[in-house]
Amino acid sequence: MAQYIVRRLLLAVPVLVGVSLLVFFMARILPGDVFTAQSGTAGLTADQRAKLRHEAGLDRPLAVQYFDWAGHAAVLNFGDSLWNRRSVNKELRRAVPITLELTVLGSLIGLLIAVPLGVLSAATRGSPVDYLARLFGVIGLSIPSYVLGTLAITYLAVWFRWTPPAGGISFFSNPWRNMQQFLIPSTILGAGFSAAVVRMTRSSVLGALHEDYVRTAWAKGLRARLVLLRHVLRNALIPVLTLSGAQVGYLLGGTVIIESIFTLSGVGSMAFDAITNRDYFVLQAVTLLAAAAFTLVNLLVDISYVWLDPRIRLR
Amino acid sequence: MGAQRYHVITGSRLSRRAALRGAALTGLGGAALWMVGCSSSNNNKKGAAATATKAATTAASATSAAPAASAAASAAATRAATSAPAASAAAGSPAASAGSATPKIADFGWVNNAPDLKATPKKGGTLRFGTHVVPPGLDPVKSASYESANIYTPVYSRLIRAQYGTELQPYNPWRLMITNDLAASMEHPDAMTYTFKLKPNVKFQNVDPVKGRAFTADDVKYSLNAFLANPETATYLAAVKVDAVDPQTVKISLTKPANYVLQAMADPRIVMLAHEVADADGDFSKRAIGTGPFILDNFQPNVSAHYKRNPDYYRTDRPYMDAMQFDNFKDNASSKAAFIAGQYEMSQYALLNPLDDIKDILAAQKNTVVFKLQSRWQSNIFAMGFPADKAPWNDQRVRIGISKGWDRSVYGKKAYGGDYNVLGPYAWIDEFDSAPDLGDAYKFDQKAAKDMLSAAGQANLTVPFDYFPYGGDADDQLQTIQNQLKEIGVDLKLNKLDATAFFAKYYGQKADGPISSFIPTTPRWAPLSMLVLWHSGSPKNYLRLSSPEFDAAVDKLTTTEDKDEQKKAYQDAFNKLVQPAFFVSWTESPTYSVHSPKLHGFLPNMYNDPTGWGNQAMEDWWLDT
Repeated sequence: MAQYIVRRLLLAVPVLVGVSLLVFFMARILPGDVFTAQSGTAGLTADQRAKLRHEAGLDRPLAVQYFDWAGHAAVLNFGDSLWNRRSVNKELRRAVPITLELTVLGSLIGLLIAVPLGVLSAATRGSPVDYLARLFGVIGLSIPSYVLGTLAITYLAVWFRWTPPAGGISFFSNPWRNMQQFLIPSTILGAGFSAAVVRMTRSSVLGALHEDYVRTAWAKGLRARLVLLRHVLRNALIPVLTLSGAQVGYLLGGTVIIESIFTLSGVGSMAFDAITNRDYFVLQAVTLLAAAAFTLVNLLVDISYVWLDPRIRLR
Repeated sequence: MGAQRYHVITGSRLSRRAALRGAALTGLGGAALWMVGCSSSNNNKKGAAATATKAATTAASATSAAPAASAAASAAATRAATSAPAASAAAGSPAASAGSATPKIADFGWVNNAPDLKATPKKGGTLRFGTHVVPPGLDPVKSASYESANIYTPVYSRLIRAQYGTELQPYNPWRLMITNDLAASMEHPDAMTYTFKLKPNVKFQNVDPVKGRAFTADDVKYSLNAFLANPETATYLAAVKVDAVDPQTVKISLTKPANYVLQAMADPRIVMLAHEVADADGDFSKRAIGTGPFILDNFQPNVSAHYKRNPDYYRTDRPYMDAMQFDNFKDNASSKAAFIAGQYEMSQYALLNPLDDIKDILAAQKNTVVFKLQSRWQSNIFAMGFPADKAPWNDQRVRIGISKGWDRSVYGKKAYGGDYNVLGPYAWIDEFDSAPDLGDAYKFDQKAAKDMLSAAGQANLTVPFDYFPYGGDADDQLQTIQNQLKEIGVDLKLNKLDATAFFAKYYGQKADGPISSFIPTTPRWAPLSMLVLWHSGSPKNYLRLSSPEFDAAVDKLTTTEDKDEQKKAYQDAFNKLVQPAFFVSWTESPTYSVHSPKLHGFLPNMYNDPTGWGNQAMEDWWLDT
């Protein structure tokens, strides 16, 4: 197992290098640069822009710029933002916990909705409960999270004269206020997450229900709950987990808009601002971080297969 | 922002379809709109001093109302050096009468719950302000961005400044009247020299590394030289030489006539800096420490800014408020929802579509104060600009033909209920006693348009048009124009760019065809803007205009000391810029600002605009707590 993990981690290196190269060059293909964006409506003459680019080292050959940046990134030093001159590491330390909480809470809520609902739907196939669960899945997939977010925040304001507080307060400093901020956006993210997972759970459980070992379990006279939880669900969870791992990536993407709507300045917002402002160093750092997170989640999913199915051996 | 449709919050029932449509549009629009902001321009020069004696401007005390060295806009006025005590904060007139005051073409006032301008200010409270700015650092020297100014302006003072709301008698948002800030008095013995005496006992904020030391003439010299070394601000600060005569006296010498030097120095961004900050940090990007009314004690870029009252501020009875909390919103719907929920006294995003958003807000919060301004001092003109050195755009018949080909009232009625303006800051200024003649280009006549284009050999013209949808409804408006132009054989090919790509093309002078959706008019005082952006000698003449007639008019405008000549020269320059249609404007809705009735003192003008360039006037705001 340890060997497998090490190998997977080593394999992640070329993935991250590839991602960093892709983002590095794609960001520079975009017309305009951070100085153009900074000057805004005041404008910048060609001479002024050239001077600023020189001062920031952006007039050096691209390869030199990349290796310079990559060398620092390898030791987790992402430099200073070109936009506001602040340390990218410092900004990430502030923003990562926000996005992490949003993603983890969203995934948990999504799984808490999706797995029981999927199992129930499969177990009561053809019943009104099944139809409702499938309807939930379709609706959840059809309505983008930003629509749900906008509706939620609008109705909260109009009906209750309340909206989640702005900012990003740590759970450890003020749990109550933190939950006020995070519960609704996480639930909205979780709803989208669960819509996909509930459908997978249902089909996977339905498949498992027809397996011989399940028939044997029924024949042994085991209670329904035991059959479902121990024999059906555990075996049905592998595709669910695979999908969930992939969904975390989508969830990370979804945080960009949800963070904007709920005024949570996490990594998603940082990425959005960085693209708009052509803040290369922030964009590169955020993308690298997201790629690393996605790689790690998928590694964890793979490892969890062993726990779910002892027949699987990771090599 | 007409494209934005929020759901109807009024007492009427909301259909699900309407809600979903509204939410979808709002969500989509919001992502683009969070970048929107800006504003600004303009002037006035009427009030104030016209006596042409070479006297000294002796501005009065540093107490409550600022001394109004009403050097007005004109250099003639400044030479006169009058001294007019400014109005007390309690003065002022209600909206209706303010609206009927000068300027004659102006249209402004409160359309809901007009505030009592005579109410006695109260001390205390924390202002909660929802902003949308993403400032590129805090350095006033390096960044001319309004977004940075929005955050740092309450921290700093200026040598001279524009008068705030009720200091202007009567209140007039288009009027630019100069008064002393850290200067105690000014002498203007000749056209090339200004001497300022500084107020005594002004101290920097008691924050490391400046630690509350005294403000002196060396700080003025340091600050102005810093701005002069920056090519951006140097373009409009004129050619000046700054000398610290003694610790309390500063002499500014012009190297060539420039009657706009006071207006330029009163720009909210030309602030007085402490060299210790740059000595420690390398520049002013990370910290803002000044002599202003508020101390920026916590700043998280793109998240929030918190200010506390500066106990050492030289105006001992200001600011009224104890603290200010700015929270950053990226989404218009969220910002509006938070305002409706009563979580903010003011929301920067409350610059709204009158037909939808104001109605929503008033349905939820009936007492909301709504201020209307027909043409804000936008730093932009919503227009199509033509590269003046490229065929066929260098042919006046082509430009005017295109402009005459669409009926501006079609969109103006559809989106703004007929309440709209064109040419924003250049036309809506106090230099005109009545609405200016915009010339033939603005007279809708499709037959004449076709004839003009045919005569120019462009009967079937394709117009590639690069634009950035600055302001929410540029897409809608351009599509309306596109459809109308088809009727005269003009194929308007819309090429939408994001802000930075647009700026790169526009400022990089890479435009081969018409470009824009908005023409930035920074700096915002219109005569200065004309000099910087359209004069053939300016490096910021991005559309490469070369019109000797226009140049001559602007030269006169920016050098003459005679106020009447200035006014005539402005009108002349306007005609020479607008009537040949070097750019052609489309319609713009009035601007509406909304705030909680708890907030008092919000009286914006071109240099004191919390939704745009700056918040220095926040020292006069107070909360009815």
